[in-house]
Amino acid sequence: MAQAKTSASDAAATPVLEVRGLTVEFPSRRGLVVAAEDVNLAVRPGEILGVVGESGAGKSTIGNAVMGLLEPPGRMARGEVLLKGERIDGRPQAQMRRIRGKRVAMIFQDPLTSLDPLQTVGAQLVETMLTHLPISEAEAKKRAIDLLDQVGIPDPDVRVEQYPHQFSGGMRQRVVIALSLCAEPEVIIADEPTTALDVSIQAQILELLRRLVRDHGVGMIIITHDMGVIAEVTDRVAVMYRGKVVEEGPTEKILGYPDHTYTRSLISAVPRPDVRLDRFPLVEYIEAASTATRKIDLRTHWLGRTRDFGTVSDRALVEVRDLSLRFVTRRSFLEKNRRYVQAVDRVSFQVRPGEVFGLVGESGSGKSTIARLITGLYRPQGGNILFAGADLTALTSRREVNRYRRQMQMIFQDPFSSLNARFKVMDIVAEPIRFHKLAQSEAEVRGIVEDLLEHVGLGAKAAQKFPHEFSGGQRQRISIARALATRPRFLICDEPTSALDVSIQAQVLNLLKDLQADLGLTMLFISHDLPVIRQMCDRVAVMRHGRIVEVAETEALFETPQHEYTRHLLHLMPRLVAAPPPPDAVPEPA
Amino acid sequence: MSARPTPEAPETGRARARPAGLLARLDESDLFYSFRRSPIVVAAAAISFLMILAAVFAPLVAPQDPFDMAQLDLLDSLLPPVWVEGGMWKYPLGTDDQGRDIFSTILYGARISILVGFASVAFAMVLGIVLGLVAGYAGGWVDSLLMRIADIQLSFPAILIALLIDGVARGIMGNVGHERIAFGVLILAIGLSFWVQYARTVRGSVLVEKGKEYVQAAQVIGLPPVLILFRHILPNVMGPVLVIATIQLALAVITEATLSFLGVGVPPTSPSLGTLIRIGNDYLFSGEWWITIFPGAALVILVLSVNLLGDWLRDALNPKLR
Repeated sequence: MAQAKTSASDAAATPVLEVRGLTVEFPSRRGLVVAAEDVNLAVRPGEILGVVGESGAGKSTIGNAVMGLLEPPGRMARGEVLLKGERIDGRPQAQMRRIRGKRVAMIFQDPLTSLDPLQTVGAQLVETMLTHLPISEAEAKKRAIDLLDQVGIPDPDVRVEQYPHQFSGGMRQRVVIALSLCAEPEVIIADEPTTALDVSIQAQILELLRRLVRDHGVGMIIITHDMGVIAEVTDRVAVMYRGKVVEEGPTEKILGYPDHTYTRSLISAVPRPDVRLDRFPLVEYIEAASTATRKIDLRTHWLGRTRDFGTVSDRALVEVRDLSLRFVTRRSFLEKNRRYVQAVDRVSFQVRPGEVFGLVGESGSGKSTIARLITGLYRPQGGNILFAGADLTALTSRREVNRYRRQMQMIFQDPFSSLNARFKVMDIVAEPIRFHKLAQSEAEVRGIVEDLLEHVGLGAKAAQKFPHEFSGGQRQRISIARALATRPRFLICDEPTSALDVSIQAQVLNLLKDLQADLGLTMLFISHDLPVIRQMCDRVAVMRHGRIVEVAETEALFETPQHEYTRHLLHLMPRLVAAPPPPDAVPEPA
Repeated sequence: MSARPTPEAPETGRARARPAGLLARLDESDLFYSFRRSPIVVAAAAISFLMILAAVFAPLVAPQDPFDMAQLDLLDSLLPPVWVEGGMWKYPLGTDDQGRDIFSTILYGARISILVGFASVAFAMVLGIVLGLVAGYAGGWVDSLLMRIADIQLSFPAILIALLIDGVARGIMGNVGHERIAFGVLILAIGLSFWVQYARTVRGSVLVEKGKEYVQAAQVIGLPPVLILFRHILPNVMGPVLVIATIQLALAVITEATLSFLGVGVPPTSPSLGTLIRIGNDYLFSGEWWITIFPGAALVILVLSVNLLGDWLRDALNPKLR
């Protein structure tokens, strides 16, 4: 490997890995699916190439094709993969196994499943080195400790003897990176290496990758959907759309002055952290979903029909006082042996009528637990929840509870599990109307459902289809229609777009903004994504370890954060380096 | 762009060519596609279907009613099958000691076997699904209690439980009274020894489904637990239940045959396949092999093809095994 280090400068011109005219096909029952078409890529030593695109664009297919890991019936129809000028595609599996791990390494998204839970971290590193390198076991052990030190694991000589479950998610991903480095590969392919991690850990891992690539002179391909990752770490970037590379070039150029219209719309769809816009700019190149043309007039519309009860003070529609909940992590008969985790710790806040209140924090900070406490999915151990002046925690009868429940609805994170696959969209959206008897006749129910589907941009015809016939973004629209069907005053959105591609996220967020304005909804908006919070919310609460550390108006929070943790989070927020493209730039024909 | 289909092409194509009508939709479905691709499964389905059909319509299909004394001719007793020296076309599989046509007795016997099989599986299914749903959704001590009962029952062989229930019924009713309710007792016995599998499977699936967001969405709407269980969760756990039901149909038929062979099943006046095998067993060593071999073969073929169907259904419905 010493040779690779010294030759890094003069070898810089010649790519270490080159992909030429790669075409990958998946024959299926309904015809040939071309997952990647005529893809050309090249990585030089010490360089990070980003491959960015939305789901289904064929990013991961390229990584798998290079590694010879295409799942049957997928096949490489055309093209070649060159490692240092030598073709490696189409080789027998036995030869490919020696190339994988030794010369080309891979880092996967989920650090939990990439490590063997039954072997110590050290054993896994040593085993990999002994397989690929001509060194003794003692040397391998020494190198393993050295590698763990390089990837920033404290006390490497102690931790080398530990098992994967003793490491946190971020530390585990560091171990995976050490594992990929241990046979001194020439190329590393990282498939969404930081998607499963929190922002603060993501920043550290990206920095580590950057440093290791420089120090070791390896070429790296990072496959990601995240423009922030691209901006942060890559030298060059290839933008993929429907199996093709539509644009490729130096990162600053692509982000600053993209030529292709798809790249432009992709970049403009990324929520901006620096300034709040009224709506996301109109995004081209996305799934067909019309924005509702008609505005909802609450005076005549079904959704505006008399809200039958409750006086609302101007101060708060929803108020949470000293809310607490702990989960049992270890059960025991004896009190002293039980272990708990305090998910929500004496949290208090108020949501004013008509505002969008944001809850932001890293995973495990208790955001979603608060949403589930307010909707009654969990019962709090302490504190009160006041809705329109009434204490929900004091209600006992189901009828009483349901009266209030109807007033608040929730939109869930996962568009695939939040709709019952056995129901038609009509029945999914009609269920709350039928159950709460909000309409006089079945014909009226159907009319309301079709109208709701029109307003979320799906069209009345969607009612007769099943959820699996829709994409993730469209399913989220169905969820929104269902939530509106009870005529709620208060809508909780729990990470409503974190499972969606950016361009679709922009559409769904636009829809939520429009509905909020039209219906005068009060919203609790939960997200880990600060730019999204900035675009959506009027006020924000920052959460950490089950507590609220700061509550402020959104603009004040982003411009003059008070708490140290808020400043830390804002600092980590990935920024696209360049400004949006100049308005007079002429787009090149696709 | 070239004329080759791009990734989006199949989707638009599918949307355009979406056929109406049930048959066309069946032809489109993945389940039917995997069915058609395996000739063994198609054969198994055809055989099971034919046998069940022939058994159900036995009075119309069978050349002779073996329980109508007027149709029996003692002179034709113990005739061998038609291809053996001395056989007649009138009795293709030969006759027994009373001149009954073996082919007809098999049809009538299979009718009883299949009836008991379906009824006991349906009984076990309903019991198991309800207990599984309750255990999975309620959790806590209800869950613990039901699952411990299931564990205890699993440590006894199904035959033993069936024998026990049959014995108790016989003790209470006496031999004569027992004959009247023999079918009910048999169905109860087999059903009670089979519910555990459904309950455990359903409970496991409910635990998975309970955590999904569509269930939480239903809770947020305010639906009561019973409605959530039966309207939302039940349809989503039925896949594995149908697989077990198919495989257990075969098992129930075998259990019934075993019990009847042991003489504790259905009364000899309306013999099932198991009873026929037992009766024929007495003649096996005196050379009249056909009396026991043909009912036995019918039982094996029926159980085998139903089992093959069940195996296929399990693979086809489980994407992980594909």
